[in-house]
Amino acid sequence: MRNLLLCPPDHFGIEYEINPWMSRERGADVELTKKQWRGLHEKLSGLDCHIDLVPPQPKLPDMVFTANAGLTVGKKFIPSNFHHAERKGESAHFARWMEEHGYEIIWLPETLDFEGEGDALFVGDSLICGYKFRSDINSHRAVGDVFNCRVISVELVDPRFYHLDTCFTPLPDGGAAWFPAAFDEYGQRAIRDLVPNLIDVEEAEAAHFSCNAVVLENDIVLPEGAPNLVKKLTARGYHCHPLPMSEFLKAGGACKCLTMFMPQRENIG
Amino acid sequence: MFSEIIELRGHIIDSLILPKVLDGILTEGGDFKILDIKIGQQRADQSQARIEISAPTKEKLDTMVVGLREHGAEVTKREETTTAASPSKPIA
Repeated sequence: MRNLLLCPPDHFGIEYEINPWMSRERGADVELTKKQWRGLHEKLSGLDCHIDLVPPQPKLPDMVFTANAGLTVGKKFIPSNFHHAERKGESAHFARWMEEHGYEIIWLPETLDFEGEGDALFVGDSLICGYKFRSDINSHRAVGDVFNCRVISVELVDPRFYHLDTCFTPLPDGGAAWFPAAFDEYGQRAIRDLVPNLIDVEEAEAAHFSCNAVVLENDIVLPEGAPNLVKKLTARGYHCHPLPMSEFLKAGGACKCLTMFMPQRENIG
Repeated sequence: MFSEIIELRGHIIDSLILPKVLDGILTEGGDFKILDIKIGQQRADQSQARIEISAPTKEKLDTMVVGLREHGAEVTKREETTTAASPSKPIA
């Protein structure tokens, strides 16, 4: 059983524009938002996940995207230092909740932007970290020091895929699904050197945030709109569960952005 | 020539940050000299490189440094060098 952290979308909405997907003129439908979030919650619960809920806070609409709360290994939690002022208020709420639930809170220096699991995903014992749009590459070094692990820093170059978890999905077999053009050429090479059996996701399906998937051993919960990726994952033996995510896509998020693993890894090495 | 000494730290080998930085310097019309490099021995060990970078103008050097900072380079020292012989620094 995996433990996950979600946040109900009570205060979710497109109230500012901090990525290319957001437009205040294209708001989210409140009822549909709740329905889609409940669909994710029910699906994950049915796949034997234990789900905790962090209380949503007014004026923090993106708290629903708990993947950006921070990064958890074992009982250690590094809260995010958000890049945009609009999200900075979330950190204290997430950190307090994690502390109340027995996690050791380790803050990075305030000068280092770091957006948690959104930009930090394990492949084996190596932590792949994205940088440029939201996280500062210097935060990767600090994270590596905290968890004593190898950190592979990869530059993100397409603003539509501003977090690593929007364009890269590690799989339990050691491979990954990814949208290569979201990375610069050095990042692509670094990933190819580290990760065998990569599944390339075509641009049209990547634009549906199909890489923003919650991977649970043999089950993969992902946004609908990626039939070719689903075929490839199914051929590898995974059970795919596509879900409607239209309202969260308007904010530049989907299944994985709405989910944080507690922990992402029990231990390293 | 104008020069700076920069430092790179982290998993700069596996991440290919070191070759990216060196390629970037050459692409911008600068030059570099690796002064010191320490490569981590274990998987979790970080590496460290001290690199002197140079450019024909201060503006070019500044532009280069701004770009390299995005990839984690930290400036440790700035120097202006000339090809003309300079007098020895007097000893106080």
